[in-house]
Amino acid sequence: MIRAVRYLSRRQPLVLAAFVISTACTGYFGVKVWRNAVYFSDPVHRATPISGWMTPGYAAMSSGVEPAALLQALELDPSVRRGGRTLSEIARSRDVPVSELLDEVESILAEERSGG
Amino acid sequence: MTETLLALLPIYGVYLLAVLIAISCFGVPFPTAMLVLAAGALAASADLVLWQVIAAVTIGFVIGDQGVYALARRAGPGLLARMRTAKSSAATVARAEKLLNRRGTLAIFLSRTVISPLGPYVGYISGAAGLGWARFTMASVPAAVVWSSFYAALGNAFAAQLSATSALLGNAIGLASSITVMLVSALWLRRSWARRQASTHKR
Repeated sequence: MIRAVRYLSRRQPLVLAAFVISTACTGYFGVKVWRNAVYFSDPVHRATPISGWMTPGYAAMSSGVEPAALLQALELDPSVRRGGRTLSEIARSRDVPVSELLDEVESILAEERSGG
Repeated sequence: MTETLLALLPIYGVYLLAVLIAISCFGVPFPTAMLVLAAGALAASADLVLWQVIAAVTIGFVIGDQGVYALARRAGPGLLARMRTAKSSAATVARAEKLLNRRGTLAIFLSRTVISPLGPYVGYISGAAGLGWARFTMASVPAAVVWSSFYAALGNAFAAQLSATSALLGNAIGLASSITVMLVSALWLRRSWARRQASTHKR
């Protein structure tokens, strides 16, 4: 075994390095996949948190809310859909911090989901 | 970077997607999988159009792949000639070329789909080692169609669970790639050692 390693490190150093690194990576990704599987088996963890890159339409849809309802609550034109602006852009045009708009969207979505 | 690029997606749409995918083929580590998943998801909320997403990603992928191949074709042979004479890499390069000639089509297809992190490397090696253009293209174009359609459709279907899908898929692809490299290099080392054993026994 030691003889083999010594020989291969002389004759095939690149391949030996690839083997060592890929073995470490296999362990790393194996653990990550397993932890993902455990974590995301809880439906609560599966929801994507609302963030600035989302359009109102996507934010609503991913929360199971009718997009028109969110657009209306945000006082946006529900007929303009395609190529919609992101929540960050909307916050900028309203001169409010993104986090404030995101909080507002979260609370609207929560209200809509509870049937309010 | 992911957030920044994602924020540009609804604004510049499929054009941005095509450009980023093409650049990533050269090995620039853009979060392309997440971007295509997100584009598929944005198609689910009618912000983008699914077929346009798939078309743009496929076109970007093919253009990038051809670019990598052309670049390696021009610059590669000189570099390979130098590696062939260097003691540490001579044996490796010779075997890699042989393996590529025998299993090239499969390697190109898999490295663009199931084990996509290896895509750029296989692209560079294919061009440098003189794998025929037609053979490279015949494997890389269908793979680009498969990859683009799969990620866009997955993002579309799991639009509400985007971060979970992306994390799980990313790690699964990472695992598949590491296992592939591990197995191929293990077989390679075993053969090399077996040959050495055989030659010492003969003496």
